[in-house]
Amino acid sequence: MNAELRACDTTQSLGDGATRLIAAPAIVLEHLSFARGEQMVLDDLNAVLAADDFVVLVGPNGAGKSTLLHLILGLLTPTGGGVTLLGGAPAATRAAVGYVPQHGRFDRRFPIDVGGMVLQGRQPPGWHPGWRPTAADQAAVDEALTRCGIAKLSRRRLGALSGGEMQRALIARALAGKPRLLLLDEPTASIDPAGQEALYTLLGELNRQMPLLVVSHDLSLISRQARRVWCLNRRLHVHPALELTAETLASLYGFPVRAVDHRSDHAEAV
Amino acid sequence: MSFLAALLQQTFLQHAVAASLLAALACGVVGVLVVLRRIAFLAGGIAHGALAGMGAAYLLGWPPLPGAIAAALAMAVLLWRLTTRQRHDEEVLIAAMWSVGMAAGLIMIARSAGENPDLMSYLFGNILMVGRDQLLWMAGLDLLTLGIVAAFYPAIATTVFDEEYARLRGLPVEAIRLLLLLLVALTVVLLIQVVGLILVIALLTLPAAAALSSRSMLAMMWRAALIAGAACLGGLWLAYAQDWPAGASMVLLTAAVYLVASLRRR
Repeated sequence: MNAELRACDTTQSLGDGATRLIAAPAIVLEHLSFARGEQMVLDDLNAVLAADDFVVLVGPNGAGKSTLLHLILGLLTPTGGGVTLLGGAPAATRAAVGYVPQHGRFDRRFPIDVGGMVLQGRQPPGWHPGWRPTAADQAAVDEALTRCGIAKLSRRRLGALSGGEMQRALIARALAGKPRLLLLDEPTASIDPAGQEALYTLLGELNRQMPLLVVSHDLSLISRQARRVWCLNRRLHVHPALELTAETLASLYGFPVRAVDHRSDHAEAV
Repeated sequence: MSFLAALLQQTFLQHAVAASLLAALACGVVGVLVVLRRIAFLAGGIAHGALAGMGAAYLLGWPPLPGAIAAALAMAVLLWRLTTRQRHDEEVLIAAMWSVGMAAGLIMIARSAGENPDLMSYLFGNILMVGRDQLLWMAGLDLLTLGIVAAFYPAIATTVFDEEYARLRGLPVEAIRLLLLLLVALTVVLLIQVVGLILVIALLTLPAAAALSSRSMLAMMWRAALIAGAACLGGLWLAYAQDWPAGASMVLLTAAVYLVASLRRR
């Protein structure tokens, strides 16, 4: 099934519904547009994130990446076209998305430990007066911590974590909610090489169970794990990850991009 | 007569101790939310706006405490509406509400016929004059505040820690923000009895800030309440033994605890 799905990657369009009936796509963008006043931020985006996909979303600053994430999650309303998230309207289905924000934006002095933060991933929607986590919630937390390899850090305060550990804790919080899709924002940014390496492996493992959409500038992530790359700069171009060339990226960013190959430990300009 | 001996005999001191402890409880719990959510400036606006309610109550011949509660709650709703969308002039609006509320209160108090209310006790508190009725009011406000926090603690904690994530999880983030401001309003009224509305902001921020090194929000709340309680009792002792103004003594003691805590964290 996977081979079949991947075989049609290069010719992917909304018309190939026949092969996709096997498993419903996680995200479908149809003629999605978003304008802020006169300014067109996103212009007629069309793409499908398949049920087993690993998509990396790239694009220069100001290309509309955050806007697209907010549209996918239903925090913004499209000015044209639409988004289908996990088979429904984003506002109704987004609770099933495991969202992993950038690790750098947290106040490290906040009085909370890793276990406490991951437990917040079990928070039910709505008011629920008197709700307290149950043993089942705690079990889901322990499972998520183990899966992310940070079971030992459960009692550690957030402020004492490294960037890589914090990123794992945020992924664990998303996993605790038993998501059907993971959405990560710059997971490998400002993390040391060893931490990045471990994250690539973890993301690859997670992709065996669920689709991933990762916003990233990290070319290693694209070459290692991604199946498809969404190149965004007001308009969206979908590339199979293996075919993504330096020229494509350079034209997207408007300047030559430096690719870093961690495997050979050599940096080469492309 | 020593403070403890006096405490056994004098009703006014017993009332003052009870008022201190009641205020400290709410101030520890809600102060943590104020500090972590960074809404100290909003809390200050609510506290000063409460004077308008007390002034209106005086003008109409009502007891001042219900007036203060109504005004503080109204102020909380108003400030919530004004800050719902992150506006560029948010700070200016809060500052304006802060001073307009206070100015309106001053004018209404000045215009109230006959009785000359003790303005100083609103502004700086008068804990040695707290009566039985006021204590009952304070206990009721405490129960309400702590009950609300207890009922919604996980949702409040999740929202205070990461609002964006809470919204994605389907929590009523905006309503929780309003709830926090209403809790601040109730706590402010409690604290006005003890230290007066000018010094409220110190008790809403310093004990919580001194407890910042806790492992969880709940632990921070207990520690903040303990610090606030100790500082209030210490201030009371200074007021009795040295004849210092009680509210000001409490604030300085809290500030001292905060200073020591921040130096130790380095």
